[in-house]
Amino acid sequence: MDKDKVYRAIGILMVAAFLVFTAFPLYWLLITSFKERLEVIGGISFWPGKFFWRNYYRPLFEDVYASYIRNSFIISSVEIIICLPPALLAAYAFSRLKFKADNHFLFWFLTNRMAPPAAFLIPYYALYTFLKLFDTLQGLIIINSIGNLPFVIWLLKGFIDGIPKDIEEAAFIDGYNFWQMLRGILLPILKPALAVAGLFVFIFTWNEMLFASLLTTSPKAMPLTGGLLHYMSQLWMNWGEIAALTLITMAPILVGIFYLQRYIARALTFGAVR
Amino acid sequence: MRSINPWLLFLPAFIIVGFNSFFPTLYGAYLTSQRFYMTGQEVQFIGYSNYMALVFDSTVWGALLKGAAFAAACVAIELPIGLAIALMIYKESRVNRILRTFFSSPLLIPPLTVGATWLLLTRADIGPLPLLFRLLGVNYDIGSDPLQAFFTVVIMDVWHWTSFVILVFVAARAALPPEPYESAMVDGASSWHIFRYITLPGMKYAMLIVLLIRMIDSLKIFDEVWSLIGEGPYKATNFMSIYIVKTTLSQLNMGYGATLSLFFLYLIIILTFITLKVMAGRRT
Repeated sequence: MDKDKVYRAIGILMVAAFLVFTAFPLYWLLITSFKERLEVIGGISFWPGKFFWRNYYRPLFEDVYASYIRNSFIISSVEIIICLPPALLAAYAFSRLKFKADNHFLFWFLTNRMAPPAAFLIPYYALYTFLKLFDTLQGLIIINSIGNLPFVIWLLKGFIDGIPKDIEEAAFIDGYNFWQMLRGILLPILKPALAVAGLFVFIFTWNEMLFASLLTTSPKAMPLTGGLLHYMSQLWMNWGEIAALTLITMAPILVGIFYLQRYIARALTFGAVR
Repeated sequence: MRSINPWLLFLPAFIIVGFNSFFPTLYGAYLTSQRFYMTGQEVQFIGYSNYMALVFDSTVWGALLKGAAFAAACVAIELPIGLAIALMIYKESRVNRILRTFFSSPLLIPPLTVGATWLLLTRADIGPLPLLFRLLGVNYDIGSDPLQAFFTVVIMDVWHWTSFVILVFVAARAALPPEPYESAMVDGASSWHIFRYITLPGMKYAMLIVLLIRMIDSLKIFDEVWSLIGEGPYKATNFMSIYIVKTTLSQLNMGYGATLSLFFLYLIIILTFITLKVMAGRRT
């Protein structure tokens, strides 16, 4: 049928156009990161005249950006440890056990996930000053769990729902208690799910900007997103360095996407679409 | 014993999230009844005046209206494009997998870096987009033209999020049973009819979910816009989150900022509730 060929051609054209649309901004970012300050201001060029590595070198080794990166890694990694164990237990309770108002609690967790961060800014500002958590790594780790922990509960609940109950039943009949069953049966099955959840938590924490930029002020606690935003708001704009820092900020995530692509639909729709 | 108290399992997570959410929400609710500037003036109880101010604050309703228009524009572009591309690349093959991964590359990167990337593209003095538009005879400057600023943010959101729509639709299309397609082929149905009467109805649920989630997410948009143009020329991109942060940071008006926050928080919770009801209705 001729009509089908037309549809197909249009489809291929759209895919190609979307490919260019996706790629060009990233390409532009990459080449800008290698341009010298004057070359960026001087006009549009689609290839750097000379690769100016100092855009990467100066912020990292002559400025404080290395410590921002370190802070980001610490906060995001510790966040995984804070979130996964409680979320696993809660997810099991929500998936397998009935308790009073469990659906309401599950919804309540989700509202914390969906809440706009800006809505929590003012109380946190005051609370953190009072609790001496302002400008500390601990403070950011705690605040990030408000969205991440509920996210992991929902994600893991979906995975646990998919495991047949018989396996656990058999373990209980064999005389396992709950904790033995968790360690011996559930954890090995859930290992891939926990890895996925951990990676998402790392990424969400790494990406967080509002609290990162407003609840920290010094290089001892400020993560990379906060540092980049502050750098961008300076009047003295060195575009090559901004591009380089932007690329550094997104680099770990671009690596993660290769592994996570299969799980994104499921993770970001609370398991509604598998 | 095999039985374990569910409350015991639930408690650690509840304590962590509860500490994070109850105190700030309660404290925020308390602040809504106060006149409280971060400039050191006396804190004063003013009853419901902040709420009255909200009702008569045209900037709030403007922000919500802009947010709704923004959400509508994003969804209207992302859903059709996402659907078309998903139907092109849903089958399992090496090329399709590579395409899906490549399309997803902007999806999880920090929203701030999305804003930074688009800043490099759109700045009037250094960006390639203004140059392109100049060649077409259009003066493009998101720093001065409100409509251009608004739609640039829409296109930035399309760049950032369309791949999410694609991935959800790919999953939904791959989950459709093959039998109806086979019998339609046997009956010699046209590809338009197959799309209209088999694919589209089969993916209705996924579309509804994506629609709701994208809507909520775009109403909450902050990082990208903040780093690209802030509230924009003539407040063209003064969305709710931007307005809240502006009220807090530049006016230091904590009482009113908390009122705006609480109002916005409950708006989003209601929309989330609707989304979940839709999902639960499907399951039973």
